[in-house]
Amino acid sequence: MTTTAGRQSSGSTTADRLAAGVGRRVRGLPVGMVLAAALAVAVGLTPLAYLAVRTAQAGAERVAAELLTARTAALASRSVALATVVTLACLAIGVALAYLVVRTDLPGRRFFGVVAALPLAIPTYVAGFAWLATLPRFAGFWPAALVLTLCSYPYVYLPVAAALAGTDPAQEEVSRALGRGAWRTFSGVTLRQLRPALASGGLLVALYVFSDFGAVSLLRYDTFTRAIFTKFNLGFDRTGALVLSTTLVALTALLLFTESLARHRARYARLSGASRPPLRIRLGRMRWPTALVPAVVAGLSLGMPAVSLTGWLASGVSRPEPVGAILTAAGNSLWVSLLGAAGTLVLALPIGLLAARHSGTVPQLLERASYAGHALPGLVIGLSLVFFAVTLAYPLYQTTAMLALGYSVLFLPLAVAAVRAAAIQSPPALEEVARSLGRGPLHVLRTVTLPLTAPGIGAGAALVFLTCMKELPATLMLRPTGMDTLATELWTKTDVAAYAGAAPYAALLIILAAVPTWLLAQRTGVWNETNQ
Amino acid sequence: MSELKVVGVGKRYGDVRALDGVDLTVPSGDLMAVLGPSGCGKTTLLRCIAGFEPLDAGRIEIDGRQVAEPGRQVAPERRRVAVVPQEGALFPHLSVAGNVGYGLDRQSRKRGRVEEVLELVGLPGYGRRMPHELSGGQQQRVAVARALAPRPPLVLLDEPFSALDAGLRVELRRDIRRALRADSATAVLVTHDQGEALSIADLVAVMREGRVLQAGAPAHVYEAPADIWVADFVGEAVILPGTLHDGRAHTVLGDLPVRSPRSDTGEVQVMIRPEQIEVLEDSHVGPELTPAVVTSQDFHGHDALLTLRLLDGSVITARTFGPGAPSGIDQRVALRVRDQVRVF
Repeated sequence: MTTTAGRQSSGSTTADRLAAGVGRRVRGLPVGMVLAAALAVAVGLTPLAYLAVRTAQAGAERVAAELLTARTAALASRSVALATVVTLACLAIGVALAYLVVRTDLPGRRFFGVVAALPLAIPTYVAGFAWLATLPRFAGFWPAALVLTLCSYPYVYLPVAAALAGTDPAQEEVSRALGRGAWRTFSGVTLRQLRPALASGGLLVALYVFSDFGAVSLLRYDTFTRAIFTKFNLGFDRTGALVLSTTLVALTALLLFTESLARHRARYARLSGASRPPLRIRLGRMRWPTALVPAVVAGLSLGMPAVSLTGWLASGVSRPEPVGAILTAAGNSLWVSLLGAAGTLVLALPIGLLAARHSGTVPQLLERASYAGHALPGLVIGLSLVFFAVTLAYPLYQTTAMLALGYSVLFLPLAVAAVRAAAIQSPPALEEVARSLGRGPLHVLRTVTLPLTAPGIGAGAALVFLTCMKELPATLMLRPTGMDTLATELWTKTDVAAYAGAAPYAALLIILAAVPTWLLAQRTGVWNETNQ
Repeated sequence: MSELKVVGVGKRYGDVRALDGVDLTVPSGDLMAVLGPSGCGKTTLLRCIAGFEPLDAGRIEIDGRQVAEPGRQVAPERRRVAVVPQEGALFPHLSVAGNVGYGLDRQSRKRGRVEEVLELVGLPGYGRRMPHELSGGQQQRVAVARALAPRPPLVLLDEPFSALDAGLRVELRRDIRRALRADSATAVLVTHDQGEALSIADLVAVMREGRVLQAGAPAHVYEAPADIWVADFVGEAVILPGTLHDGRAHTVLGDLPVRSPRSDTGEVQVMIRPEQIEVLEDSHVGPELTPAVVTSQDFHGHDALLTLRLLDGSVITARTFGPGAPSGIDQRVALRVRDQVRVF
């Protein structure tokens, strides 16, 4: 005992000084981490702030002149109409598929359970390309709505399937025991349980439709994003593009605000205790005919692009796209996505860790603010960063660093959520126990914290990386001149109707994007639940 | 060998005084139960002793060595204080052996210390299991084994049994007591379960609102509570108004002899334990008997707790033992108080 005491007295002074310097706390919050998180949030909010400042500088008259035109009104109503139709269609398809897969004895439900999530892997501009390359006159409102619905219904399907798999069958049993029939139980109990999943899924779809650029542009349906890009690309009409961007952001904010107002206040509590797997409805003689529903959806959303791409790949064999160009584009994609993922993670780490480890106003506020990028269309972030670089940081203009920063701002919410979820895997109690067992902070970091959080953070980084590879509008605007990625090559080739040349890029993109979707589907539990 | 001394410890979170001048001494090798309702500061006290929270006032000494005072504290890993948290908090990525061996150096691991402590907590041969393959009780045993493995002079247990069902709890309690004794470790157990505190501990400290109201041997705290609140919190208590006169308390249950009599007279509160109240058939008559009516009964097997209404309407509880005692609802009975009562 005496020897340990002696060692402690000599060592503790250095350790204490270290602890005082690194772990300074105010009101229980680590100052260093709060500062880092605030800095990251500031970076994430730069485009939004810049947009606001520039719009204000343009002056009320100029803004009004741009805004109060028949053209702007038409754009707004077109965007809203598209978002409404696509969201409703996604809700219908998402709920129907989720219910069939999780709650009925549908034949092949394990297979359909995974397949139904896969369209998320297809970027809308790739799907748009596939349809357009097969049906040359495929353009306008309904084609755009169809493509967007087929690509984004998994946003509803995944959370609803998870919720259906997770609801306690006891509640439905109680409803039946109280004399309610099957249909009234579904509408009165089951659907109510699904309300949070429906709301969040529907919101994601609507946000996505507002921000989508690739599909509406290819299918020639004018929405805000397409008009902004045209103004930027052709006329380099800065103010016009900025004002339209601000309007789009306002529209998005309005949507978020309405959703938060409509959000039901009820808590969805589940009393503790073991729960049983959900009840399955026997479809009886309708079993096989019902299987047509998921089959048709899969055929349209996956089969159609697959057939179209295969056809164009085959026809391209005679006039092959130079392998060098494909490799260069793939290399560029990998490089900028790597930079983007690294930047995103650096920004996300302090925010996610702070949110997971500390409660209170400051961490909550920082985390919420970091989610703002989620509602900003990639096009708007790209645009405001271009103008930001041109006016305030010219050396950054058209550099890969700027593109990586654009990705970081866009996908910060994705990475924050991943870091946060990972940090929760290693609760402070575990680290405290490890410390009390005589292990120093570094040893604990190496043997407890890192092994527990690294898989989650790694998966989050991979997800961001692959999402960067799929990104189109911000890449188009921020990439250095002459630098082509898989996404931009596909875009350019489709624009000039070089479908055979575009096909290899489309195929590569789908393969790359399928990986995070697979991960997502597994994490949401659809795979596991339907596997039982 | 390793006495724990807590002197005037204070800790506040914002405006809340979690600890408000706590004094405690746990002699070497003893197990002290810190008993109190939730929110009384007992877990904060444990975290201060472990070194997870800095102090705002006072000091903590382990084995005569000062480990904490405001602005200066020894890091948790240098205190040799082992912790068993509420939900076990096993490292989910390590096997049982990995968990138990976490605080051990290579030599002790080679010498079979892991298997030795696993045997001590009743889980021999479980080393290769993963935490998620264990039941709640087994996980808790592993958490105790992990804490005991490095032979810490002081072990802190934070409601380690609260998540377990009653039968398992008694068994685990006994095993852990034995394991602690085998290593002659000093221990502090935090709990809100008075039965647990009274049955397992050598010493009980009752906490409320950040202060220690009373500390002492379980029997002493039960028989001679420091005030009415402690009397009511530790065990069941019947509290009646009364007047003190000539060393006897005059109450609705008669003139009762007062323990450690006071010479003063006046209004007092009289505390009687339910097992002091004898319940007889109402055929018994005598000046020391009080008539009453049974209004409800909680049957516990070995004993039963009767709720009784007296003639003046006041309601009291009495504990009866064995099947012979009258217990029918609405039955008329006669009550007699055994032994001396306490007044406050």
